[in-house]
Amino acid sequence: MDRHHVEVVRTHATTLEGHGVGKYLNRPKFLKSLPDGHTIADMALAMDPSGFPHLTFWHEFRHAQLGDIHMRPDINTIVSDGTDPDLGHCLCDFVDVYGNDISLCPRSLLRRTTEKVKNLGYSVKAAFELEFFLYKNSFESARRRSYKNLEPITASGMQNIYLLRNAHRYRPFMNEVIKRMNWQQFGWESWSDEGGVGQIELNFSPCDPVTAADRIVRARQLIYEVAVDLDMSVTFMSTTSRGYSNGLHVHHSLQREDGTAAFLTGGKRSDLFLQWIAGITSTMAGATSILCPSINSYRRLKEFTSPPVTASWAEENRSAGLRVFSRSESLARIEHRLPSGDANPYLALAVILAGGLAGVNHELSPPDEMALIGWGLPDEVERLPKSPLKAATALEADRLLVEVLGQDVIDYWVNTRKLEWLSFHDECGEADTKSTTDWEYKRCFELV
Amino acid sequence: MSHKLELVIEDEAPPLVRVFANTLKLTLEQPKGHKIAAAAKGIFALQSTRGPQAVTIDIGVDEIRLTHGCSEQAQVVLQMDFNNPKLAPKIIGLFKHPLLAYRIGKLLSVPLPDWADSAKRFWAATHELSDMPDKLIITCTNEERSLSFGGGDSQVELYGSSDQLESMLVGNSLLVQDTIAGKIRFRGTLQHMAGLSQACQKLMLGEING
Repeated sequence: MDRHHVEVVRTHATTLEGHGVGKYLNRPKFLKSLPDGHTIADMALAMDPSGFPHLTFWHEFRHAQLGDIHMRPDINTIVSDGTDPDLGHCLCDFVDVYGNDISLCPRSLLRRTTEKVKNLGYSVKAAFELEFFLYKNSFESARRRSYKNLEPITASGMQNIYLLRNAHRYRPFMNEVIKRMNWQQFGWESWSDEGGVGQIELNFSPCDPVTAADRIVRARQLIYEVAVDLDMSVTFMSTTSRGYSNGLHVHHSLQREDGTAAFLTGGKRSDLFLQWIAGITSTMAGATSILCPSINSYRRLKEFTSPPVTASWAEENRSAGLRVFSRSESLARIEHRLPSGDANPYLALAVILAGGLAGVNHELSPPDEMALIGWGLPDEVERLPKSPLKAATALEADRLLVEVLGQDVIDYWVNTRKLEWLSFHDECGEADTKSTTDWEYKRCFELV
Repeated sequence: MSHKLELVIEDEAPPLVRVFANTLKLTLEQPKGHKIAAAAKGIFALQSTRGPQAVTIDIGVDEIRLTHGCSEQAQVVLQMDFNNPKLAPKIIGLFKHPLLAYRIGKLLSVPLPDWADSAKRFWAATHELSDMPDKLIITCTNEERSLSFGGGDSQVELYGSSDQLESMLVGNSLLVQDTIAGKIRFRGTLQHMAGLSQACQKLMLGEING
C-alpha cells in the first residue's frame, strides 16, 4: 500500500451467485478493520440474482433477524488499480462476526477443498478459459434494447473462430484489458477470437486453485470496467439469443510433493488419475447444478455445439465431458468442459476437486474411455441433466459430493436452484422458453 | 364409488400446473368431486386472460394428466383470470361439447376443504422439518377464528383471510411472498419465516404431501 500510495481500498468478495460485492474504504478504516474486515449485511452472501435475499430456506450463518457478517481481507491479494492512482483492490472471504469461516463462502469452500487434496499428498494447479461477448453498444444502450439486437464487434459477422481479422477488431479493447491486467499481475497467457460473433476467449496460466478462481472474478470485474470506460458492453452470460455460448472450461492437474505429475506413473496414466477421473465422471450429473447454475446455462447444452452432454472422458476429445491429456509429463491435465460462462469459479473448481477426491477416497473405477463423438448418440445413452431442477435433484441425491463439500452447503445450494427454477416459471409463465427470455437477459447480461 | 383416478403431472411441471394439481387433488378427495371427475372424460384447458399461462387437463379412464400450455386437442377451453378465479370464465367449445363443459363447471365448483382443514394437514406434514417453529398460531381474519398447533418455546403467528391462508397452506404460494405482498401478516423470526416458506415450497414441488 505504501509503495503504490494506496489511499482507498476496494474490498471484493464473491457471493454464491458469483456476484462481486464489497465497499470502498479509506486507508485508516481498512487498516482498523483488520484482521476480520468490515461488516456487511448477512444477506449479501446469499441473494438471488435479482438481489432478493433467500428467505425460503435457512442457514446457520444468518441471524434470526437481519444481522451482519464480515468480509475478511486476504492481505496477499492486495493490488493497486493502475488507472486510479489512489485505489487498491483486496479480495475477501465471508466470515461470521466472530471471525469464523462461513461454510457457504465460495472462496473459503474452495480453499478447504484444496486443503483436502493437499492432505492426500498432492498440490493442485488450475487454470480457467474465460469467454465473453463484446458489443459496440454501451450498457445503457444495451439496456434500452433489452439486451437484444446488439452490435457485436466482428469482421466476418459469421461464427468463425481464431480469425485474425476479428481479433484485430477486438485489439483496442483488449489492449486496455491487458494493460490493466499486467499492472495487477494477473498471469494471463493468451487471448483469441472465439466461435461466437464478437466472442473472445482469455486464458490464464496454471496456479493454485484459489488464485485461479480469484483471477476469474477479478477479470470479469476488470473487463466490465473497461467496457464501461470505453462506452461498450460485454457479457459473460451463458447463452444469448444467437449462435455459440459462453463456457468457462477449467483445466487442472495434480502434482506430487517432488513436483512430478501425479496423473502419470512411468509415463502412463496412474491409478490416481483413473480414480480421479472416475470420481469426477460419477459425480458429474450432480455437479452440473453448480457448473451450470442458471436457467440460461442449460440453453448452452446443445449437442454438436461444443459443450458436453454426457458424463464421459477421453484423450483429446472435445465432445467428452472431460478432455484429458496424458501423453506427456508437461501436458498431463484434465480439462472439464461443462462449466458455463455464468458459473461461480470458486464453486465450480470446488465441486470438480470434490468429485476427484471422492473417486480416490472410494477407489472408484472410471467408465470406458469414450472413443466416439459424444454428441448425437442413441437416446438410451444417459445424458447430463437438462434443467436446473433435474440437476438440483441429481445433486441432492449425490452422496459422494456431500462427503467432501458438506451437507449444509449442498442443501443450501439445491434450495437456491429450486427457487431459481420456480422464479423463472412464476415470473415468465409460459413465455417462449425455446430462446433466451427477457427475464434471463435482465438477470444475467450485466451481472454475471 | 368408481375406481380411483390417479393424478399425473408432467415431468418438470411448472408451478401453475402444480397449483392446479393441488386443487384437483383436494377435489378428488371429496366423494362428489371424484364422481364428477370419473364421469367427465375429455380434454380441457384453463387459459389465462392476462398472459400466456395455460394448463391442459386430460381426464382419462384411469388417470387425470396435467400438462402446461393449451393443447390443440382441448375440447373445451376456459379463458379466465387466474388472479381472480371467481370471475366467470369465457368458455370456448361449449356448444360442441356441452356435457364436458357442464361437468368441468361442476368439477371446478366442488367445495374444497376450508383453511382450517388445510392448516391441520399443513402442520401434520411439515412440523418436523428443520427451521419450523415449535408452535404455530394461525388466525383467519375474516372469520375471527384462530387455530393453534404444537407447543414449546418458539412461536409464530400468521394472520390472513381464509382464501389467502388456504392458498399458502396447500402450497400454492410461498409464505415469504405472501407476507411481502401484504396478503399474510407474520409475527416471528426470519429463521421461522424461512422454515415455513421452505415447507410451502416442498408442498408446491410435491416433495411432501399436505
